[in-house]
Amino acid sequence: MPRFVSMDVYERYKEEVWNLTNAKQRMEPGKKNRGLTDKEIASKLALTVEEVIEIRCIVESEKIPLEAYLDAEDTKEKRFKRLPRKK
Amino acid sequence: MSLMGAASEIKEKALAMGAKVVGIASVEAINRFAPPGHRPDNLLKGAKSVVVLGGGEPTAGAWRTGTNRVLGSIGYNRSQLSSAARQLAYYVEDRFQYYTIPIPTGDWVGHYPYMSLKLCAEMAGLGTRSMAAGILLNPKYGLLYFNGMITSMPLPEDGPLEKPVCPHSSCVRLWEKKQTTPCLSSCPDCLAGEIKDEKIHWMEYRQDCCYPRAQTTAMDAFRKLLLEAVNETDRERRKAILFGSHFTRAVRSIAYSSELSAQCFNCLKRCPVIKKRGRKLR
Repeated sequence: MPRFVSMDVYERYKEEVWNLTNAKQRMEPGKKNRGLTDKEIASKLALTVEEVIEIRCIVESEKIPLEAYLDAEDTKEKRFKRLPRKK
Repeated sequence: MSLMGAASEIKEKALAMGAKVVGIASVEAINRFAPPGHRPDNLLKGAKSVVVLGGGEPTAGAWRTGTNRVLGSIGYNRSQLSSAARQLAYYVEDRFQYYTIPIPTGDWVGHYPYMSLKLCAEMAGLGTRSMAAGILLNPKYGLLYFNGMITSMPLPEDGPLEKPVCPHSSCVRLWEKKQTTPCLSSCPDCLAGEIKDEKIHWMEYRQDCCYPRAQTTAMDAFRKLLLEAVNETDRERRKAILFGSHFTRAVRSIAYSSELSAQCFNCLKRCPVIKKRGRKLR
């Protein structure tokens, strides 16, 4: 069973782990662009794979505010009927 | 029987089981892109081929529903393909005597999959990546969902499509005029990109922005609302969270495995590759 990661370790590494994941994806035909695997992140940040998995799993949830879920239906319905205006 | 004959038989079987399209990718081709730990032969020792099944897409009518919620509710059904993949795996083991497993299609941990079905489908020639979040577009059906099986059988591969499906010629014209496409303008916060020389030059996709829209009432929403309720000290407000409409939907989604993913569709709703399918219907 995985152990819980300490919040000290989490707070220290969460941004770095997040930035290395595939949360933001870029595709350029002919080029290799991808987020790193847990093992690759662990190797880069000198963490264990288990620590990276725990940090990634928590930060994936924490980075998306609850309001984004609560407001999603309204946003989707509006865009379903009409394209959003340019910002 | 030759391997070519076996491949044809497997494809026919998959189509008879409900797949709309079938393709074969070699593990070698997939491994050129898939990172270690997320490769077919990490899941099945000695894997040589991946047979990818596509289908379960929204009907042409589903795209014309009046609300996003309805489309989100009926726009996908992955149970049929999952069942077909499992049946096909049994069939290949019984008929051809090679080790075979259905592809595990759930998340491995968090938002990471066991392996990329999109990559497998791309290498099997079932579609090419689009400006809409890199979602694979099939030249005939547009959006498809994928499932499949991994086998130690060395089947002849189909290989990737030579001609990109995206951008559609109408999108190229729109780009030249307004520097946008239907998908980019549908979701400017999730998507960005550029077309150059009538091809995708680059595309960026923010999964964290898409997630709450594509999985509005799924597991992450459940966990976030649960934490909110646990941290809430006011009893009445706690009740409002747990008995409220969003948590109720999230519980129902999880209980019935419904409305768990693919709940948005806005980036593809105006895609000309998809729209062309419905043009001949009445």
